[in-house]
Amino acid sequence: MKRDGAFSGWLALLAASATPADRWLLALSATAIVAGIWWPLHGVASHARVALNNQPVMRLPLHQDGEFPVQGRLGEVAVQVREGRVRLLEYASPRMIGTRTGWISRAGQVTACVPCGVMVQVEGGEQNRYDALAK
Amino acid sequence: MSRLILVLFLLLITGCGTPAPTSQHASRLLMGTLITITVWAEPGNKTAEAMRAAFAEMARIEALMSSHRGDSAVSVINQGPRGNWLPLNPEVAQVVEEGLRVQARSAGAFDPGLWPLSRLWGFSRDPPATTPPAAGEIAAWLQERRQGESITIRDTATGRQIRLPNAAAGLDLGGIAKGYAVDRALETLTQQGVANAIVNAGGNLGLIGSKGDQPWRLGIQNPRDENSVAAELSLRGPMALVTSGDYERFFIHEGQRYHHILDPQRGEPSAAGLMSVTILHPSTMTADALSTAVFVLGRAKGLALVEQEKAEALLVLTDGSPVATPGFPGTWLGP
Repeated sequence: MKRDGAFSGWLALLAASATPADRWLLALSATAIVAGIWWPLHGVASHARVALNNQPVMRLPLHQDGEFPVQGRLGEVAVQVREGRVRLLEYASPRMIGTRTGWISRAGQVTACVPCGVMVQVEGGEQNRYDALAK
Repeated sequence: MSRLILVLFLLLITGCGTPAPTSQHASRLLMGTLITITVWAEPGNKTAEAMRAAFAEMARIEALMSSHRGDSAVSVINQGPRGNWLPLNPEVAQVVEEGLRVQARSAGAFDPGLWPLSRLWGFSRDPPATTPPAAGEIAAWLQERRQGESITIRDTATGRQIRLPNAAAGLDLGGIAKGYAVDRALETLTQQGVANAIVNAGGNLGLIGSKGDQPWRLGIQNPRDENSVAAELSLRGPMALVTSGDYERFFIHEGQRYHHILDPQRGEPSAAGLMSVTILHPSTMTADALSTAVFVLGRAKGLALVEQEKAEALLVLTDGSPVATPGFPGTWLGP
């Protein structure tokens, strides 16, 4: 067996010891490890948490498209889910900031109608380019 | 034996170690805006509890200092008789004093006593105003305001006291209290064992620590396109980044934009040639007040104030061009 470093030695020992079943098991474990590191950083956004007056009212999986009404302080607002993204549509808010924010899909992104008391925040998924925006 | 070695090897590399730190976010609607706290830490109950404590602290400050709540300490003062010395909560005193200090340094461009004028313009009303007040109303306010002295604070044996000179004066800490609340939230997080966090109160940012071995990556909103970023920068805490702009609260009436940053000398929205001002300073409270003061002062006097206060700034002029102090660390991305 070649002895040109500890790591090479371990690899050689594994290669010599492993049966075909062992090699499958090793490959599967390596794939699981890589996925476990990659997925939290680059995975599809998982859920949107909807709150009314800072109390959670629903948690929507973002892989299921749909429109979900919430009765806010100024009337109904619609929370729309489509293709892994979510947005909030107000109908009676004075500045329509939630509607103007548009679709969100990255971890931690939030859209809200402040006078309505309705807020939607994305959980999981790809990290946003910016940790915060000054505005 | 070789299979045993293989299994042991797999167990070693998959392991049961502690979860790696990640960015965790929580948001609340408080102080009339959206507050988001971001913490870089290992996920767990400790972080969640720290965030809850920070939000509770901000809610406590809102209850104490909001002019919109009839039972707040500030409203009790505003409802009191003018010309009389009134008891002043020590914490409110701290914020008012900083406001008066910036007022003096800015030759009145920032003013913590504009509550009657703010109510006249109605930007914080629910629903907010969509037309300007009558010119006569503004003129009457200006006349009465000029007749009064400034708001004064004194120390007595029984505590601190405040005097509002006349009906044209009333406490409105909207331009400084959010910054104070952000500073207090960061202190609360630190006391709870959090070392790396951003508290974002409607775009007023206070930050501590960093994101692991990387600085926090921050953007400054484009004043004319809320879906794009005009500048970006990387920062490590403790530091504050606060923006004031004419796009935050405004209405358009007969083709003219009326925004919420009022010029105390004119009684009207400031028209000093700026669309937004971003201040970099260790204190979020001071940065909050300075961003308003510089917006009202305009480019030349505003930059002079920034230098006196040992802050850094990025100004966006009404033609869309940027002006930054030499030490401002951001990168302009363009309109």
